[in-house]
Amino acid sequence: MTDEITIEETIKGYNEAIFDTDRDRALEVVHEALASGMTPEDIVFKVVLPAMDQMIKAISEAFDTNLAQHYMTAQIADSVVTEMIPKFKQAPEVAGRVVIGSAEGDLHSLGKRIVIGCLRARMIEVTDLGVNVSPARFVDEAVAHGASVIGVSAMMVHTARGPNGSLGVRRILKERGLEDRIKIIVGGAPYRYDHELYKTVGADAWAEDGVTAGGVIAGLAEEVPT
Amino acid sequence: MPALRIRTEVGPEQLSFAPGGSVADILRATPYPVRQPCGGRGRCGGCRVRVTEGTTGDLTVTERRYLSSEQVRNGTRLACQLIPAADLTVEIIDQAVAWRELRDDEYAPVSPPSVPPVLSAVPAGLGVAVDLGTTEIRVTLWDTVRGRRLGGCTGPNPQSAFGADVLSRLGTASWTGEDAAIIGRVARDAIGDAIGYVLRRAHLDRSDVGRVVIVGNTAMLALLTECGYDALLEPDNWAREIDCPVPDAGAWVRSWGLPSGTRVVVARSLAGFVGSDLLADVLATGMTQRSAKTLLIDFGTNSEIAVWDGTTLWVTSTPGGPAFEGCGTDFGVPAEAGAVYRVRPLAGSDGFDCDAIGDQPPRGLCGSALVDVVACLVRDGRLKKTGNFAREIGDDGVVVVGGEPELVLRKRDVDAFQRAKAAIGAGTRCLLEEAGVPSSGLERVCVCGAFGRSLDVPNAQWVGLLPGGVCLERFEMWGNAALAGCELLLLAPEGVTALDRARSNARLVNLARVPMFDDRFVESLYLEPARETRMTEGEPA
Repeated sequence: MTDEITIEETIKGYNEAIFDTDRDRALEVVHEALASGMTPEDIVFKVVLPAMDQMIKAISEAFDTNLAQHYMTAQIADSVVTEMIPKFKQAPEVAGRVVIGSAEGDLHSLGKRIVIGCLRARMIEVTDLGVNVSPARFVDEAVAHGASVIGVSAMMVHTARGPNGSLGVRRILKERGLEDRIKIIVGGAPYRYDHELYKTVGADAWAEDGVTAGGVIAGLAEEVPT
Repeated sequence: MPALRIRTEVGPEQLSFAPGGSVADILRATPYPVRQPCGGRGRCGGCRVRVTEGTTGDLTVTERRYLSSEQVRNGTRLACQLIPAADLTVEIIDQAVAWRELRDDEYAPVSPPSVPPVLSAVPAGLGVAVDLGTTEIRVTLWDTVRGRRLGGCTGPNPQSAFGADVLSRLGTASWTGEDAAIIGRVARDAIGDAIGYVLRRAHLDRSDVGRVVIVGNTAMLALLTECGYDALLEPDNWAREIDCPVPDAGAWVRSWGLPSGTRVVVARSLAGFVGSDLLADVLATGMTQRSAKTLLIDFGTNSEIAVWDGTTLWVTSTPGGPAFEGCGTDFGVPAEAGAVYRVRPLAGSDGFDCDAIGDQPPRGLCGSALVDVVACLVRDGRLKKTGNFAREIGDDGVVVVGGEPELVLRKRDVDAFQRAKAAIGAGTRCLLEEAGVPSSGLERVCVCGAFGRSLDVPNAQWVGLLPGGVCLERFEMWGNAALAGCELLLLAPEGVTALDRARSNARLVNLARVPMFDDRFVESLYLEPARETRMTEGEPA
């Protein structure tokens, strides 16, 4: 049994490890806290999720984070939460259901992986549809999984703006009368250069980066009645 | 309609415009486009004009950031930010079509072909080799009879105004057919212009030109010939050959003012994502003609990577972005006069000792200097391998060159560098793994691309841009190898046969379909020596 570790010390240690993208150190901090008696619930809700929100805040205030940090924030949070949930006294409620994929013609998957890690850490059920996903498949899978949000990632201008990306998903949602039940969020480089582009392609929201997207999607999932 | 007046080589020119667009927009489809290294997004400060007459609105935040107080006083503005409402007279400072002669150190260190060129293949004595790059165009003029280079020039590809990288440019072209025609024309006009420039410099006449050979990445060739550019947006086509025939060679030759019998050859690409520029690299370095296991990297906005294992040529490409060509970072410049190309730590202080091209005051950093700065800072601990500055430095970054303009490395520049180098580092690792060649087994590493010859190999290895575990003498700095390969194609017809052989021995690797690529990419973001390629038995390829 180690000495008593305060929650402040754990938060500080975990945040430093995240800033340094040091996965081993982050896991060590978490395990030390567990060993000293902190509950898995506190680790998730008082340490891991606030660290993610703090990263979002840092990103929005200034460009002082980088891709490696975003990626590791998501991966570390995901692995810690995955490890903690089975230790919870009571299984947590699913905070929402989301399907996510890269637009048709787009094979980029890194940004999507960051989003997925962040969503899992937030206890949102995510179905990864992979890359090069057609608009019809986005909608079919969303319906099949009871998802309230469709995430369409597009790293290239033509896959972001083209008719088989978000625009196609919007068209099918409209045709099938699903617009009240399913929201669309987009993300990827083209949206960073044109902050109004998400409206042009019929999306309900966009996010600057994968970590921020986790927060935005969690908000959207709460809005939509399931 | 109000008019924008500019002064050109041939006198004043008046361009009427509908208010609403920027000066860069107005100039885009004219013969006088302004440079747009960042694609007109207000991220580089490289599109300067000077207002000499007329009233303008206030400076934008972007302009205040990029222009010095002296520049503001003399009326300098950024063309992408300046939106005129009434008559205006400007002087273009950063012309898109501004040719300069290639320096000796920019040519690849190859001797002219030993086989005398066959006369019958070239109807007249002069030949032109063109390397059509995404960011830069390079052209050389040859006496094909004597096998002698008569001159060469380089200048920015004016298509940058339609997108800095390959995909955004293809996207713009595919959006409307009208844009595709303009994008094709500006490249052809630029080639014609460059040919005129080298001929003038050599005091030679257009009427003696008999052959023009063009190499480039597939997207550039598709946009040039206005052929197949929309197909390139479909991932399924990336591994297929995209045919880019010259639609009307007669019209091209006429627009260039060359004799009607001039042959124009656009060297065939290997596939959608591997162009004839890579094949030209292979030809120039002779990598497939020896048994030595070889890695070739051609650094550019779109970087190509090839591995020769002794029997098969493994090829891929990776869009790292233009950070190594002097764009995408705040202080980046192409390798032109005033560009810092080498940086060393200054003993006894935390400053730097810089070498600039042409002994001019430093204007910005080119790709090789960026590698040096990052390596120095990682070595002395001011920059951590994660890309974060040490806590005592904070987010203001590090001053590399003081004075006016002050060149500061900020965290976002480091991030751009990390992404570009990770794309190349991960691409290299994946390709070596696919080919089954461990990096320690490499006998030759050919470094190609504009910055290639001034790149410091130990620094590049230190930050993981080039593979570790390979000793210094195995590295060969080729510089513009694609241009050298294009020259071989121009001079020696047997080059075409060698090219066809290389083509039939090639195995394409589409990194987007390599499952390990994302993991390798994330690992490669770190500023540390590249990890040894793993050749574990049983690990899925």
